[in-house]
Amino acid sequence: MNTLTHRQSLEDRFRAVFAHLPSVIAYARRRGSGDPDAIAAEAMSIAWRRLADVPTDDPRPWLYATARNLVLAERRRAARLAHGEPADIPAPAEAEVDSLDPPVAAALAALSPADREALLLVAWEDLTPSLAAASLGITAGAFRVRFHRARRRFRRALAESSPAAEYGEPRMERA
Amino acid sequence: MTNDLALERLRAANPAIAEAAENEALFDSIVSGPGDARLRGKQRGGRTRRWQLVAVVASALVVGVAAAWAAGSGDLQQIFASNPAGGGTPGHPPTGIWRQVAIPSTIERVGVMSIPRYGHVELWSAETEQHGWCSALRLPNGDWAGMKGPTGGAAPGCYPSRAQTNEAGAEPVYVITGFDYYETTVDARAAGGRFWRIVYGVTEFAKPAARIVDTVSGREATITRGRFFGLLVPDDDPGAASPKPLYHLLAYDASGKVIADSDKPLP
Repeated sequence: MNTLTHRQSLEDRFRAVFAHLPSVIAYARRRGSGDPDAIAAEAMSIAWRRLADVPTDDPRPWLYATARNLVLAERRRAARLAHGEPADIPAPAEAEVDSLDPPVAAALAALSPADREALLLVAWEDLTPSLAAASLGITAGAFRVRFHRARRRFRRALAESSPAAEYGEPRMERA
Repeated sequence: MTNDLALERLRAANPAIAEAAENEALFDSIVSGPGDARLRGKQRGGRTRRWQLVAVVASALVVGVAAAWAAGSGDLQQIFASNPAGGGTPGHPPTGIWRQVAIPSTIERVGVMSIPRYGHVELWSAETEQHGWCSALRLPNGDWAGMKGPTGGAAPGCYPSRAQTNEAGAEPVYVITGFDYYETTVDARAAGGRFWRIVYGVTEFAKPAARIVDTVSGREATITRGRFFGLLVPDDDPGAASPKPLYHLLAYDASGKVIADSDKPLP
């Protein structure tokens, strides 16, 4: 394969990754980034420079993990500039969104960052447990435990903030 | 996965839906940079092979430059020659130190800024024969910022170097902090976006900077092609009195050390 053809094949491979740009922008926005477009653009730039590391079957877990790190770095920079303590992943309630259901926001804010991320990767990013586990760099078994715990805590917190509704144990669970 | 009502309510509360968008400019900008070295094609080695590669790369560069001219720079060389930012008009460039001649081979896109609900704004630059620099912002509709339309701020043009300007006087008076920048604004509020200030320019430090940070807004930008930068700063109340200072820029080197401060003259 000559150099130009090889280059074209790399660009074709990257184009399949780049097709997920809107999803990465949405991910960064959901995680409270102040500039989700810039986060997604930077994640894609990193993907191009490290294309060998990006899974070819479904790059979303890798892209979300990269975007997550960039959002965290963004928060740390903002915290340093404000001379405060570094912040963790912000609760969606802190994000620049105006449509989040307040009880849902409160219930999410009650979760630990790790539990919240596990829950949101499935609920909002629509990843399967195995893909979500890959995004978090943990085993599928560990993810199932974390997800089950997060869902239970979220359900309880939501019931406390919405006492009129019923969020009891589901009749069927297959994670 | 489950009929968990709480999870369904969480799904329904999803605050951001992915929306398809045209991002060819961003794609082109990314793949124009160096890719993953691990995926480079295998080389057989030897002088002949190396020269073949040099020839291919040179051809690719020529194609790239030609494509860039065809796709974006358009008459940018002529715009730089007339130097609107320096007060010139077509056929009547400014005189004195503002007479800057852009080197055609250095005219290139050095960055793309993505503005929500507005589009991608490209930062183009060039070096000049007089060791100055040129810049222009290309808007999503293809216009050059400051030439026409609703954007405000600096027009495209070329600027003398700090040294060239200061040679004319006994005391350094120009770009004494090492930051030389201009501002353009775009207003995306009608489309549900925000009002943005685009701060763009060059750094002229003894040591190369890796990134700059505006401590007023918390925004930052990476340095491209050794010294160019474009910084996006939102302004949610552009009609109000500007904060003092409007910007406070810090430059960091690759190790994270502050090497320049827009409030302090360079030594």
